Amino acid sequence: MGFNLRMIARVISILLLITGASMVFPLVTAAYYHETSVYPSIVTAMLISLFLGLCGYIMLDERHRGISRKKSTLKTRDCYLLVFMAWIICSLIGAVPYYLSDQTASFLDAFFESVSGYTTTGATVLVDSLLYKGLLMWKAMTHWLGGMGILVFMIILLPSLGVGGQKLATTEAPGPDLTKLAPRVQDIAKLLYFVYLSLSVLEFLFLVASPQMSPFEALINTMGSISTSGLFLHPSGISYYHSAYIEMVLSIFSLLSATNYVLFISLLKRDWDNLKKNLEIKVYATVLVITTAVVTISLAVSNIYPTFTDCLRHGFFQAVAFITTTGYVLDDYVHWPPICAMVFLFLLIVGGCGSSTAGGLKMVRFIVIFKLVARSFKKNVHPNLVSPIKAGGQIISVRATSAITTFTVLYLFTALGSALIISMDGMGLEVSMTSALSLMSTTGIYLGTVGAYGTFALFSAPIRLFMAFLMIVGRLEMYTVFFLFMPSFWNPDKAGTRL
Amino acid sequence: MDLNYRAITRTLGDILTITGLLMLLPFVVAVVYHEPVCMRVFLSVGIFTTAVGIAVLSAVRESAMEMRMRDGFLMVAISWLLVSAVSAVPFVLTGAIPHYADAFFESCSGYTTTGATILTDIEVMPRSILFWRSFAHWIGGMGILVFTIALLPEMGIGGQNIARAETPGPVFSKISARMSDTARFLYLMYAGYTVAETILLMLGGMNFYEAIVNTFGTVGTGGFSIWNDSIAHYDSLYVESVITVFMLLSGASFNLFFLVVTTGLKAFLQDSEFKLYLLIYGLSTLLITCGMSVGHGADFWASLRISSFQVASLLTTSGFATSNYVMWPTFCQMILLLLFFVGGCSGSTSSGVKVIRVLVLIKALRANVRSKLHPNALTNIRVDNRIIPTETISTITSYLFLYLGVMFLVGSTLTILNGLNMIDGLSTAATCLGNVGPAFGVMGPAANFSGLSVFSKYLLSLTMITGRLELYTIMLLFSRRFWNPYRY
Repeated sequence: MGFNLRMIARVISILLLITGASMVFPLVTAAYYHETSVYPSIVTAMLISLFLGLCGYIMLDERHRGISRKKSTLKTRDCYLLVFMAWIICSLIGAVPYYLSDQTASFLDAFFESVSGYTTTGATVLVDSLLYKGLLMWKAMTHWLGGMGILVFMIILLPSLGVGGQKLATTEAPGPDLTKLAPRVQDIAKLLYFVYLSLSVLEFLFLVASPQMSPFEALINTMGSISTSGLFLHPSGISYYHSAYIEMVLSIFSLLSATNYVLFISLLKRDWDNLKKNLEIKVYATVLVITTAVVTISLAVSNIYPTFTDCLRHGFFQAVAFITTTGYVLDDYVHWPPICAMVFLFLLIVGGCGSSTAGGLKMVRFIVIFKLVARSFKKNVHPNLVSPIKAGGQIISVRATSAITTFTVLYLFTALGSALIISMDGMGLEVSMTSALSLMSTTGIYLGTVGAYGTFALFSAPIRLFMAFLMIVGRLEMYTVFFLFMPSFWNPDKAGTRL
Repeated sequence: MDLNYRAITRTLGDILTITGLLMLLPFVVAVVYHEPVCMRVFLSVGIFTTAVGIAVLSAVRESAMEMRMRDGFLMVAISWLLVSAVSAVPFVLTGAIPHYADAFFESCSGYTTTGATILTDIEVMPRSILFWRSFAHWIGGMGILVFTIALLPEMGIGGQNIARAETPGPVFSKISARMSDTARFLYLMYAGYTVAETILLMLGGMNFYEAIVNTFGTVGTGGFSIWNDSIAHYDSLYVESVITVFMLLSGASFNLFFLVVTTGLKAFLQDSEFKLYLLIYGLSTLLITCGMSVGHGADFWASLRISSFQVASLLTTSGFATSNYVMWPTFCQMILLLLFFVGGCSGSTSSGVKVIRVLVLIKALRANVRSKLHPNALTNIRVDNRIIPTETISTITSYLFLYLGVMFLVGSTLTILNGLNMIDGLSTAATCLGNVGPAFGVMGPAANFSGLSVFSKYLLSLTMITGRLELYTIMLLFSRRFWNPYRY
């Protein structure tokens, strides 16, 4: 049973066409700002992408070849391979503009930037920010596409291509059942696109209203925050603007984008019941309030900032930056009291809500684990107790629960293993551990003595390659990448029964 | 459903009596080394404690009621707290450790076989005091109540329930028909190790006192030493090798050795927990050695000597040190940090998460990845050809999450109260919860716990006992459901 390579190649061709088409925006930007050195590099990348995509699309078109309908469907395995290859190929093509315009020292660095773009990590290996506006536009564009892509891949694309039903998308997502939102997955896709687009437009309008923002900067910041990437326009981060208004807008919109998108659809449909029952959003809000309070109070007690309002402003902004996995920096948090680092570590692990653009473990899983631990206490008092795990009045099946716990354990093991590999660079325990977690949750900033502005340029080249890989692992929620290492993935007929 | 308070009180009486009698041992040491203050203190506290114990026993009649699970939990929890509290008294009265918070910490660290200390200068301490705190390792290693059961089989208490609440590891397998027989057998083997190691250390040139105190620290996987620079003081390959071997033996399951005694050496090969344990040990040692020699140009054999000892010490949660590992390359430190979360085998004297849990988790992960890829494939998780039920796996994952949660909360508290940074705070919490001893950063093997705030010391003492009793025994006491099981 081989892979449906023809179909995989066809879908990738379509993606290449989209990638090529989306390079129009950086191209226009570069042309507008007369960036002659960037211009040719983007054109080259665009041509490569469009050419390859077009060739693939035409050559593999099934209508000309009379390929049966059956052969055009993708099985589960095909989808996993497709998703992985799509990410690698898009990232490779996306690296070309950075490399050709000499912004990065090597192609590896360009690849890192590109992966960081698509995975919405927002990490950079550049010591300064990107100099050219055309490339900034390209990075923001990849963020924006990646942020949406994850919605597409996770919820829409896989089922719509005929993968074993909705199973793939929903086994791990307890709570509101996606299938109940709209009769067809394509309709859900449209709704999600609509929400994503409207949020982007809204944020852009809010940002442009600020006198410090040119339309260009507003656009870049919008794309960087709505995708929860946290793109910096200036080396000093968001503190460059010195504007509480901008900080507020960015925080609120990244918070919205890290909320479960299903809720927005419920809102559109005026399904108040679903909203009220949703436990995840309540926990999300509670966690945010508590962590902000802890950080604010510790800042106030240790007199880092003159007024309480300043403490609140910094505490809230930084907590949001971690919980939404944007990874914005307002001020160098290295000098903050160590409890802040603990809070941020917690947020790095937990991340935003499920079915959002945020990364990390996600609130849903955190809730289930919390309930599981609480139940284990009951079980110790009543060893024969039977009590299901419930969230928002819904019983979560044993299968889903065990999927969530093993996912979490796998996540933690992967993070620790990655930290071990990263530690070969000798950057200290704190930097190694938090950078691994940060890349997996697509946050893009780490804790430790190097400081909030420490870029990933500090790491050696092989480690940076590993880090690029780790971002993809985290973004694809691990399994997709891990399957590639399983013999039974490549040869399912020979899959043994023993574990 | 009331708790069986009468039986619990009687057990406490037993425990007090025994603790009092045990104080006669450091009394003998004090006599031999002419330490008059310690002599008087140990004798009087010992007699007083025994008297109170006997008084309790004679005042409370035996209970006809059966011991239940809940009674077992409460009994074990109170016993550990009581023994630690009582044993701390001689430290204060002899003036060796003036503050009770410190003495309690030291005592808990002893019984839980942690080996973390608040003493800044160990070498100035009276020998009987050092003997007493190391002796606590020996008693605590196997379990205070298992010890009591072994001595007093006629207590008529539900031994299984107690052993379950006290013995490390997710499964307690009965190896003989009667609980007291099992306990006695375990202690027989334990004593065998102790004698063997003492003799071997004396052959290496130690006197009897030094040998026995170091042996207590080794076989109990505790890690208290009598020198400021721990085992590095001897600078002897022979001593290090003996201690490494006995640490590894004590970190392996005692039940497994029972099987080896009864069925032969092939029991070793059939036990996957033991195999993984050795694999982790070998791999970590190798990686650290390579990290030091290849990565940083150190001498290969010197690196191997240091790392093989240090890995054994942290994996078995002993916490001896021959080298200040916080100065090692980050990669080597990271491996040691990961070992904090593994710990020894189930049914051993070591603490931590336990190799068996790691083994089951790894298998569960593989099964999970497999079932994602082949949704209709049936996957059973087997360990040693026994199918592990889903229920057990869920228990183990909850245990892991609770472990991490407690570590995080305690670590956060430490960072607030003591200004430790993230890694130092977390690793200090982890070292106490895993009963290891030294932590990382400023709390490394060269440091001690004396600088922490009083509240932190009590918190860490409780954390050590919580970790030693596998979380639930202590944490259940804080749950309302425990006190009122009919509540829903």
